[in-house]
Amino acid sequence: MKAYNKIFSAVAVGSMALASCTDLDTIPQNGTFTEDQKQEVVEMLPERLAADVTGMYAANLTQFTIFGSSQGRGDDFGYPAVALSNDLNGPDMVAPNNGYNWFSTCSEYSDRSDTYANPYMRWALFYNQIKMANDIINSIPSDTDDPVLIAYRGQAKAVRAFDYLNLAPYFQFKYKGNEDKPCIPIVTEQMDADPNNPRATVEEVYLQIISDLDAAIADLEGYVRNNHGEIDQQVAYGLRARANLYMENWQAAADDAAKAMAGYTPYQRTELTQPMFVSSDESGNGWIWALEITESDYNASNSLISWPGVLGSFCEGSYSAGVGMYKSINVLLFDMIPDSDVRKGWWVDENLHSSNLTGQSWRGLATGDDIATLIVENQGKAEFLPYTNVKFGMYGGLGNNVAANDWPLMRAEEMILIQAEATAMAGGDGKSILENFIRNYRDPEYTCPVNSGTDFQDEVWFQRRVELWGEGFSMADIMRLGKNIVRVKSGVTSNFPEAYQFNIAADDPWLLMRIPQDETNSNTGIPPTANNTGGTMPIQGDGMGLTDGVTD
Amino acid sequence: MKVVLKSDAEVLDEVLVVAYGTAKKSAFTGSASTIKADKIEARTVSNVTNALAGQVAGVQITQTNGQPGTSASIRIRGVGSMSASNSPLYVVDGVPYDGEISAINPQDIESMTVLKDAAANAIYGARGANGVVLITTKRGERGEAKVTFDAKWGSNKRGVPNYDVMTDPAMYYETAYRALYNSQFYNGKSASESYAYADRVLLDANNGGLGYLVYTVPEGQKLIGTNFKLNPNATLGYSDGSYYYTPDDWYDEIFGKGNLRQEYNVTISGASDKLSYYVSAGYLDDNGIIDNSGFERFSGRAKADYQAKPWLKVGTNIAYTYYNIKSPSGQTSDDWGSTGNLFYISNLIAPIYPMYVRNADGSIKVDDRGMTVYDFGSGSTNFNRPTLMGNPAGTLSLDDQNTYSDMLSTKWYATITPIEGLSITATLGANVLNQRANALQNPFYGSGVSAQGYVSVEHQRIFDINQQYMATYKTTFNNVHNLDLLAGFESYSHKIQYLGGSNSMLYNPFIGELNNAINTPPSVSSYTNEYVTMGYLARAQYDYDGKYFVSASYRRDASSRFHPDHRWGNFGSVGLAWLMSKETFMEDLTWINMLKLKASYGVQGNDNLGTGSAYYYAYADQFTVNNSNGDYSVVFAYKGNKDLTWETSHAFNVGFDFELFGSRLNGTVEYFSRKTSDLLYNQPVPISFGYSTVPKNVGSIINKGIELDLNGVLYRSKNIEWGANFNLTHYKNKITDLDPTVKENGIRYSNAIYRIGGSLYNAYLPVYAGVNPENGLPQYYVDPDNGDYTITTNYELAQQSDLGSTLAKVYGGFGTTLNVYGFDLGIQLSYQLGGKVYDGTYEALMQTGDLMGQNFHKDVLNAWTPENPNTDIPRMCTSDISSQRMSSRFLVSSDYLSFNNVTIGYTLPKRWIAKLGISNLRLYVTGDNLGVITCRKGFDPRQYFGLGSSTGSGNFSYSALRTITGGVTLNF
Repeated sequence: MKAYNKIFSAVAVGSMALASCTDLDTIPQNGTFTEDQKQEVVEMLPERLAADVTGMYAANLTQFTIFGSSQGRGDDFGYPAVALSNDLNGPDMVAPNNGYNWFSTCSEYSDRSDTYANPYMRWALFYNQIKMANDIINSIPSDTDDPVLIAYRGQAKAVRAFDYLNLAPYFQFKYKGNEDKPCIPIVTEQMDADPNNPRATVEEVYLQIISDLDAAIADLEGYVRNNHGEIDQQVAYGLRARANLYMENWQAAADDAAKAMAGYTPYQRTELTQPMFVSSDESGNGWIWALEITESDYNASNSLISWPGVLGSFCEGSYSAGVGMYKSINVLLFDMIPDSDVRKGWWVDENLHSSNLTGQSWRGLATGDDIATLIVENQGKAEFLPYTNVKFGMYGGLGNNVAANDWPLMRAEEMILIQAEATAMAGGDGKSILENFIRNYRDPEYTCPVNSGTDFQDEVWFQRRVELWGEGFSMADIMRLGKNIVRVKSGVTSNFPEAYQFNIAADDPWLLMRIPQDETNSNTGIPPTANNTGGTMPIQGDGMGLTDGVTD
Repeated sequence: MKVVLKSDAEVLDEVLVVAYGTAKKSAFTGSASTIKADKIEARTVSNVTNALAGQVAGVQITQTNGQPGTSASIRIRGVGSMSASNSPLYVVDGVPYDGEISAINPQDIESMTVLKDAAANAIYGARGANGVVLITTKRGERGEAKVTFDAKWGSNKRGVPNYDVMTDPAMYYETAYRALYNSQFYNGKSASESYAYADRVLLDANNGGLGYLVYTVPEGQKLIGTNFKLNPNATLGYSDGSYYYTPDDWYDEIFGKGNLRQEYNVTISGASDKLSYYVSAGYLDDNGIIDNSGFERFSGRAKADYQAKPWLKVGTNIAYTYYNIKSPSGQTSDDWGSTGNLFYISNLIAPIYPMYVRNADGSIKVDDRGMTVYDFGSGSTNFNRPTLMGNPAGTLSLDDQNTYSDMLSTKWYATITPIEGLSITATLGANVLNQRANALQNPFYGSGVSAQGYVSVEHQRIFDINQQYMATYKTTFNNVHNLDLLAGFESYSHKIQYLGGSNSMLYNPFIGELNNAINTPPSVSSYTNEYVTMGYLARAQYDYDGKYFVSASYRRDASSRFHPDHRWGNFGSVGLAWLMSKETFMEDLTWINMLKLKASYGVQGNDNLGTGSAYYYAYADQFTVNNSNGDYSVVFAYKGNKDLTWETSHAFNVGFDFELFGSRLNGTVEYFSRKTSDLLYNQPVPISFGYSTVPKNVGSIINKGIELDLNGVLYRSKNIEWGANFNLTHYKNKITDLDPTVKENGIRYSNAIYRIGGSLYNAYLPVYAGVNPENGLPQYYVDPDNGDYTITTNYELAQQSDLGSTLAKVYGGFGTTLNVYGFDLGIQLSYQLGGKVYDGTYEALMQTGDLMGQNFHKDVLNAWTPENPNTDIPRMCTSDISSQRMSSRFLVSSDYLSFNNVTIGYTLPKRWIAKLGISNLRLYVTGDNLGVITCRKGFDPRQYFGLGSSTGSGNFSYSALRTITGGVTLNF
């Protein structure tokens, strides 16, 4: 009996040991999954491949896309944060100087640093997206005749061109005359992950951009997109119009701009008598390309770090409205806008008045100009500052805090202005294009004071600075036009905080952005010594007397 | 004679808990240190890892966060991994334990044994490379039931004070004013222009000024005069008709009060011939030092071992713990810069700002709900702070965070002994943690206002199953050959199932549940991750006559973290020991009671690249799906590496164990060398790749050092015993190999460099060259590593330089105990010498006025001025940049001497209490974590191993607690 028991027990133990053969093949059950799992899904449901393309676009609008939600940085909200950084570098946008300003580094120009987070973001955002575009291009057989796949490839190439267009202008001076100078590293789908990737020349970068856009335009022939967030052939033309403008290929730029805006119409004057730019379909038909942002991207609990919460003035409890970190227009530019121009109402004046507030209501708490002076306790809403923008409206109405505003990436107005400038620079009649646009859509009393050449280019630039204020074009224009940055001029009381009151000469090497240390520390092709150098951070009062041809 | 000695030695011989069993201390070939219940009980700690500080040679403790219940970070014999975990494996009563250590009641612990070398822990193969901490719970001792009751009450206070910051509002205004003035005057403006600027800007929060006026100045007079002094006619306190403004001492308001800590424990234990049992219950309520922070724990344990048949023994050990960690969010070292961080804001806020909103008559404002109104710095009054928005003091009491946890830790085993010497054991260990975290953000004040309150509810179920099937065979032949064999199979699976949701718009502002929140869409998420290991193991131990010892172990392990092709690893060890004191030639040396020489070598593995979800499957590229405008959006999330495999450490140990002078002095001296190769490492890549790191097996590191551990009885008589202990560890950490792509230049970070010959903690910073005596600007050497010692004031030109290892050269602890006529006194200290760490908080406080509204360290009073050109503190000037300008200037000594514990007790004479049926009664008072001596007041280097950065170190996470406790222990 005893022996039997022992044997029985031994068998029991042994069989448990056999039963315990645990499976080592663990697989994530998660919204994050392995490449193999992704392949299985796409084989079963081929239409899921579209998710990669959607994901590539979404990278531009996602919150905490660079540093992650654990860091929760107030300047990490995708492409609009880059646009804001570039505009705050420029002459036309003013922000208060205090500790709530996550972008003070741009206003004061300490962002020409290889260690700061803001310039890191302005680099990594685009290279992350290039990686996604490259992956898509790689996953599509080069000889495919599947129209869906061809359209995906076209979009990926156009996105890649968009990314290089958002890097190249800031790391080297303008294309013309600097073609041989080092710009940024190029990463394409053909390259292995090689840590030795030197800066390509300006010319090489633009060659890549143009070749990608040429290919995209071919691939997107006949493609009908699902929404304004995607790139179709016209968007690709629009991007090539920008590239040609930067390269001063005037006729090509004008032609591309015309193709890009075919069928699109600018905002009407009557539409612009109130805060707008909330949704890609709000205007008759002016948005060519957009970030389609929804409540699942920015709901009430995460609206603090969003573009309406930082650039817009109507998101209650945000950085701008909540603690008064409003973005205002430089008084120099504001004073140049005629009263007859509907865009004068895009900013409150010195006395906090804007006709665009007429008939508006902040959650029923205040209406009209009283909105400007309304204070909602507990960091709800602070009083507007002089020249605060009221250009950008608010999703769900003024005072709402669900920051699901779409972001305009390309509007018909920009294409008209490219067409006008480029046509004139190519020797054609740009003036009537400009006059037609401004008279019909902005200011009925407008007459263009100059006819051609750089004077006309300056006039277009003035219109761009007003029309595209806040949309991220400021520094790209400064760099491509080779302009001084003129924030202040003697005799005019500036609304810039005093520490930001300076001008910068067009050839100051401080203008060039620095490649992030995390790149130069790992990329043997770009040692720290190959970084942009020179110049010193401007201080208050620097560059007095510089002019820019517009605000003189 | 000889025989008598032998049996005597056996009686005295201590039994050690070792891997998969126990061993006689004298027979043990490995390196292990044990701390016993008495040392653990002396400490008033809610988490037993904190009791290890200074107690064990070779073990380095850092405590990053004082939140009650949080674990200390433990490093055993240096740092062997780059990206992979450096944490030891915890094994509780033989079962691997991945739960919260704070779920284990320290009162239940009989001993903690730290296994330090390969002979001791190689048999744990997969996860033993960073050492193993064996926690053994108490068991019944033969005899009648013994009942112990212990109760203690105490008070927590902040253990580390603030830095020596400005506390006088006048001094702050004067310093800020001067910095504004200087920004003009030093840049070429006239004195009158500069005064005009400073007057204009000083209080203008949107123009680089302070925003708040807290002095009443006579009409038409200036706050600060041209002599940079406060107007003598100014009086503190200012009313603008609506509000009254006067500064508060934030530090005192927040940390001034004591917080109760109470703990009760009762245990009943005993053993008979066949049954041994241990039953305990405990309650702890530790209120931390800030509002709504605390740790509450109910714990119960039942343990029984039963000899069912002569050949069958069964047992079970079941512990249930309920605990709730109330840990306000935003109070950790990750929360640098967060104005929700009480420690950050109270360290850094300028002494001119009120904490409360006051009515015009000076009384503190109370809102119509009866709540005190705090000043959030914006929109609260007519003034705005330029920085440090928010007021955590105002929100912490209204917000609520709870992590309700049920931990069930169980072990079941059966051992059969079919023949003499052979035993076969099956063990099943199952630990399940069910955790529910509710967080409520109030809708009245703070960041939850615009969302109308915010709630997050998370549930986590962690289920660990450990299976062990072991056979051991012990035999002795010819009376002198002792053999002990072990073979077995072990598997472990760790499964995390998570479900969480959050939403805003609370109907009832005090209910932190999702059904009380109506905003759509709510945010929800869930996932499951699993980790599995399995392995075969074998061990042989042989000794000849208790004099010569040999041991060998082998383990083959697989981990689910690696690709199937690279999953299995082979580990093992050999150990030798020679009990020299048993040799006849030592017989005459009577002052030597025991002397043992031991040596070991072994190979261990590490598969733990990190705790994030991605690291469970680090061999694969990973993607994440999201909703984008109603469409599936898939983005690249993680760059994996199929070739990833085990990180392997090769450990060598040699040393002596000794007992001298009638065993009055005993101790250990050891030398160790641990080389880790194929390091698991997240290697940085150019960020233009579109991702920032790739996991790799890269290079190797060596940790070499010595340990000394001494325990002595200095004096002993009938009623008096005085003992002392001392331990010391010195080690050097050196990188010996790196990936070919980075061999030449090393891997460079913003504050550190990994390069061959350097340590894992080499600082890599621009080198500060003092202040330019001409203009007061900070200076740096351009590129010292390449011999360029040109001095520049342009920070951008200053290249980073390798400043050597920041690791402490020596660390350890010492203490003493004294028992005199029933009184007992225990003192424990720990220390560290020769290391460095970056003091980021000091850097922030040494700002030059560019961070208006943030406080200054009083050291800035010695800043450069034309009259004070010879100083190492740069000029005060608001247009200069001081923030996050990392350099060697702020790399400071991490030396410390920490007064961990002082205990005074009195055990009442037995004859007084015998009538009450009490066998023992002790009253005691304990001061835990009484203070620390460091290079600078306010700085706590115990939070860091080394390095640190502008934003990654300093004193801004939940500060260490100082706890004074009184208690009583009863036995009957």
